[in-house]
Amino acid sequence: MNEEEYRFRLFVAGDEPNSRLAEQNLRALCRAYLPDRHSIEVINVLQDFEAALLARILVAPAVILMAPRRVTLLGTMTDEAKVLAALGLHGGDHHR
Amino acid sequence: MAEKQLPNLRKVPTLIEGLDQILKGGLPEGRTTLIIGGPGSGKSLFGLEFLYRGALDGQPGIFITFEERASDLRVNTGTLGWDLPALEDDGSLFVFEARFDPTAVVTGEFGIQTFLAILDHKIKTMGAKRVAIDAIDVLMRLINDEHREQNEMLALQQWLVDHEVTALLTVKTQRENTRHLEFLDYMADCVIQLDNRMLGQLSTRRLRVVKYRGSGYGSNEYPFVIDSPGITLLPISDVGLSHQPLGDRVSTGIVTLDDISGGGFRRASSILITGSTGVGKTTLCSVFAKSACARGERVLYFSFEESEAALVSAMHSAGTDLGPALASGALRLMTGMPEAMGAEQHLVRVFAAIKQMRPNCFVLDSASACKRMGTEQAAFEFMMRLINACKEKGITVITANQTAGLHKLDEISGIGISSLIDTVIQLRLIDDRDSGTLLRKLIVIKSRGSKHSHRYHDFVITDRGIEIQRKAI
Repeated sequence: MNEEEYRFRLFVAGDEPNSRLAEQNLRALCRAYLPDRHSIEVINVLQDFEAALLARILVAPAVILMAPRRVTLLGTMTDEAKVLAALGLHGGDHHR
Repeated sequence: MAEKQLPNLRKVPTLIEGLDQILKGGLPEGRTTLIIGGPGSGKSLFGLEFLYRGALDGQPGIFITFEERASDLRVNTGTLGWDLPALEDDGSLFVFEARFDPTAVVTGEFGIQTFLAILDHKIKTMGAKRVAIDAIDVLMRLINDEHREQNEMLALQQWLVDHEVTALLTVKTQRENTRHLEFLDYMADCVIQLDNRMLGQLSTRRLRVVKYRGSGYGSNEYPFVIDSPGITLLPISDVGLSHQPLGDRVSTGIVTLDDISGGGFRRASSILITGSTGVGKTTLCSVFAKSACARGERVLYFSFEESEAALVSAMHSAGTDLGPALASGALRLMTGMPEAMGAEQHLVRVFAAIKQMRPNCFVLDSASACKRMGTEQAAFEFMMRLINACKEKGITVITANQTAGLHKLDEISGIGISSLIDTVIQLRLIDDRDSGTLLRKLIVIKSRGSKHSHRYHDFVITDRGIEIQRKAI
């Protein structure tokens, strides 16, 4: 129903387990639901905390959907039902 | 529990008026202190003032707020006369607005590494020594898992210790959920509780130190006020232990009364003038004030009864012209409505005036009006602390007190401060049926360290002043 590109910004704290898990989950979700219409920018807050400060992101991992609309997700992205609902994606979309 | 202070415990003065006395020096250096209290109890301001005073004193600090906007903090503290932006500009204060996006969705576990990375950088670049984290409960609620909350908080505490900062965490108390509190309480080295309750019709703020590992502390509940220039606590000093001895005698302003009272009032003593309305208490106070000024002393006159103009005019018609003493600055009149503010705020106001003027004599007109500050207990504390402070400073204090009937003579309408009163003079109006007039009588009921008359003396108030009959009746 919508063809816009989903632009994600993923904030990780180096390669600690929760951050790695969040990245895996986000990439898997994009492959399943948003093939060819997503981008993921990974920011390591341990190096680039200014970006986190600017986005007012204080925990890691965290994901901000920058476009088509802004959604903030905190945590490992493990609760898939919650993530899909927040992003406005539905189970049926990827069969399209 | 006044433990002995551990020899290796170093303290950081908060520089908040009165608090360091209660904490016996300040907060534990390099450790975590917890401030708990309900909404509106003043927690954030304590945290912020700790940093503000530190920054002014050359110790850079970081204030992290999970709840308030930095812009609101700047505006609100501006009303206290604080200039936060100036301190932010010169790098001695950083206000870190860490409010969470309320629409954020929690999708799994997370940690506070990002927060710490930002804090780490700021501490290092600023050389920060003081850190206040306001409303840490917001962060804990977001984690929303007891086990992880505790791990994160322990990690945070250890992190703060490793960074050698003196930290102050504030937590909102919530009735329905105390688990944050129990754990933080156990974790912190020093715990301070604030509350804001109604006494009579006036709100009263109080502070209590709940624990202080390795140190003694004042264990009472201490009232405090928030007013320009910030938080002021009024620790009760060891009442009576540091009073100045009674000094030499000074004139009461009336020769006959000097004789009756055994040579006049003693310096640094407290004198109570009691009697019904219209009997001449204020006149007696004014005569004393005027004569003290004429001797070259400074007198602070605090009236809860009349405006300055009304008092000056009334005294003028009773033969006492206060004008010259007021004009020269030897006499200062302060007026106020007792119900305008709480007892603590009145005390702060009076103490500030005493500090500034350094008077030799203080007149309080009247004790009975103090009850309108809220409760009798509040009035008692006001009187007790005021007289006590005057005695510590060697200030002679005269208090007028209106009695309605045959009260115990040295009690102030139920306010028992008699142990702090050295001299009591009672004035009475007597309806004389034979002559069809009202007679005024004066008696010295007690006067510590003086041989005084024990009889009633007639007196009249004329346009030349008070005239007392030497001959006792």
